[in-house]
Amino acid sequence: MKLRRLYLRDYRVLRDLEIQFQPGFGGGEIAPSYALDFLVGLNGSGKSTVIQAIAEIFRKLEASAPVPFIFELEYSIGAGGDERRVVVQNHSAGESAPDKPGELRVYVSGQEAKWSNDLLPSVIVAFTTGNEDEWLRVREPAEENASTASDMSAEQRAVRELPGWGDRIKSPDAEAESGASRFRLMRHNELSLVTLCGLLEFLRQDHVGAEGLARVLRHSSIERVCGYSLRLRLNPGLAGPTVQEDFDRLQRFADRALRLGSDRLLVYDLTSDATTKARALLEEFGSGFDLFKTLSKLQRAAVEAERSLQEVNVFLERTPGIAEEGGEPESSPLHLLEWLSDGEQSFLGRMCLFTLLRQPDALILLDEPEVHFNDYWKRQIVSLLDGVLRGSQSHVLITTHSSIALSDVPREDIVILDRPGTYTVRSRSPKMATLGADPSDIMVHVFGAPHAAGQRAVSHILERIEADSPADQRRRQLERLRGQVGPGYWSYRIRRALMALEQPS
Amino acid sequence: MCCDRFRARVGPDRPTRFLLVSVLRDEDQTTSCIRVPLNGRRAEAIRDRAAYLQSIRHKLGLKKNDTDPGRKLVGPDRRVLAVAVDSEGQLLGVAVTQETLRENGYDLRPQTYLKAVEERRVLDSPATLLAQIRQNQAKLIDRIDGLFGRLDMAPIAGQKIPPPVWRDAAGDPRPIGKLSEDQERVWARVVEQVDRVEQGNDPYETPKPFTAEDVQSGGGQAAAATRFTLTLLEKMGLIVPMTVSPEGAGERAFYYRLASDRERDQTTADEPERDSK
Repeated sequence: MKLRRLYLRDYRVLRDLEIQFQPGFGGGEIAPSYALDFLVGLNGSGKSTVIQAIAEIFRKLEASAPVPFIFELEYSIGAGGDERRVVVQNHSAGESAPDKPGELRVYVSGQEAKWSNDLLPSVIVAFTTGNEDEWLRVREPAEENASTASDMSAEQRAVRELPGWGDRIKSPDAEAESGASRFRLMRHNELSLVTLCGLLEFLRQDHVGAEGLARVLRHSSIERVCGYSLRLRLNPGLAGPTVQEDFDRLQRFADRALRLGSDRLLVYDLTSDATTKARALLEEFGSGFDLFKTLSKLQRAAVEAERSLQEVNVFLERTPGIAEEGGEPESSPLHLLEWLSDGEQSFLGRMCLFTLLRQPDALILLDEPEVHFNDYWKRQIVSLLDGVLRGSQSHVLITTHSSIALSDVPREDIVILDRPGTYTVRSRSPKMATLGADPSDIMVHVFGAPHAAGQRAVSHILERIEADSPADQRRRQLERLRGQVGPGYWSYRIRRALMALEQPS
Repeated sequence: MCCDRFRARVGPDRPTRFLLVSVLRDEDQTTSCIRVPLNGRRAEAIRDRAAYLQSIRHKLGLKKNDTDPGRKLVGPDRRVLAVAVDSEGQLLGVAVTQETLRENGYDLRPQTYLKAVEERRVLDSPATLLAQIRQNQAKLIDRIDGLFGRLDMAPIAGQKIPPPVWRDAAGDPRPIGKLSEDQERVWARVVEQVDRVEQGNDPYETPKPFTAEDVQSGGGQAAAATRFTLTLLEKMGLIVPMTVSPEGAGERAFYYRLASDRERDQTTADEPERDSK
């Protein structure tokens, strides 16, 4: 799946916005089979809004529901001889009411066609480090109820009105839960599940992204994944047949199964034959992503007590502490995943998420996935994704504020959103070549920062350089400053100012 | 003849209604008292009416100046011939003299002649009631889950009582992965928490309840590390949390114990190992 073009007439902060994606263009020697694009812009420029709009378009199309805003989306499905170019739109230049969405029109490889869910990406995965409510919100009441209120008098409406929408609204989350939808929002509270499934993919070892995750585990001081356990609640009469079926499949691979009242504890030992065990389980369910979908379905319920999957526990051996001189290395306690710090869990969870994204023809929407990553790991994001997605035909669209991550892609894979006033109306690629560029330059030329160094330091240095004080005093101040300022452009500027003072006027 | 009707509480919660009938025998002018339950049970003679009334007053917590409970239907001051009540104690009819009827304009409503005692009860507001229902819902689900759990337990009839410690043919269960030295010390104390059962020629070990303090090295209050280790062992299915409910109204007590044969899921692949023990 490759996005080619997106047009949005009026979607929240976005007005008359057209984005041209250029998959495979500009990559040159390192052009991958998949497409990777970064959306950048200042806060409030609508980066997250763009990927939410794309997700909403596909969700409405999948549900055969009208898309409530004017759009045009062009993309390709399949590859090589099987590639189909799809254009979907709900506006037409000649229509009399251009501000309202019109009839849906679909063109497949230039021919007008009817919409079919065969034209959807194989899966649409979304992850955000921001507010998930925006992804889960249903924007309008169901169409079939539209006439009910208009058939009533004002008095009847006043009497019959109840506050809110009550439990009538079916959230998109519930659709995903049914397993029928191809859209999947990876929720924050599912990170332990994501981590488990990602680690099993890693342990399977034939995974192309295994080396990347091995680096992540080393960095996180995790020496070994020893095992895991799942606690499921199987209240008779409440747990449906599919829950029992899923449980039976999971139980077949468990080393120990305990019965604790209505709960079952399935314990999996990975201290021996981890590869064989992980492979057997993942083959039963299809892949790590498929296992995640099954476990996620078991974990979702409106009331916590009603969840079938009550607990996910992962047992980790951590790297021994560094030995003091002449002593033995300090042994680290065996850990539960939940004992890692929030930062460690979040980092490991997101890295494991990447390993689950190896899906053919998928659309992957990641909203600022680098948040809370240190610079070391920001520069690894593209490499990790590349390890996982190599050979696939998916499109990954990432919103980011990271200059470091952008230095890993050519400028054709970067979309800058410009918001000159109230609305974002324009998109463009950076003027400078970004692949392998210094992140400082990207910060200045892509993000529009006046300088790459911190504002306080720059103001102080400029004040000293431009000071109108006697030459001896300036020289002393600049010499002192040169000893404080680190190497780079501003050190050079100080040296130049000192040299100017040496020259006869 | 006089007739009293009481509503008393017998046992902790069960309200009953009954007629207390005092009969004056014309022949010897002696009085006898009979208690007639209105729920269909047999009537019984009351030897000492005054003592019986006093016991009811005591049960209801009435003070000296409080009037007798119940409603007086017929007595010397009430010149009527009969009353009719249903099994719930509701007044169906009352016999009155012709003169009384005439005086009341031939009003045939029973309540005209017997004043109904009003029972008032202040109900909480709908919002309060809904809030109470909502608050009780979580407790109810918890209790129901507990009952589901009991339904799900393997029948005791087919088990050894007390159950043996979970052992496997391949070796006793151990923690998954390498424990630190501190964790290993806790585990060593945990495996000691057993009682020996001498039953015939087949003595065995059964899990003994313990707390975090019981397995803390050196005794005293359990350190956080000990509690963390116990949590880890629980997640691995090596120990299980348990509650002991004493008979009567005593406080429930919470413990851990080693996993036993009682926790073995009957459908697991390792069932033959259990049978071999």
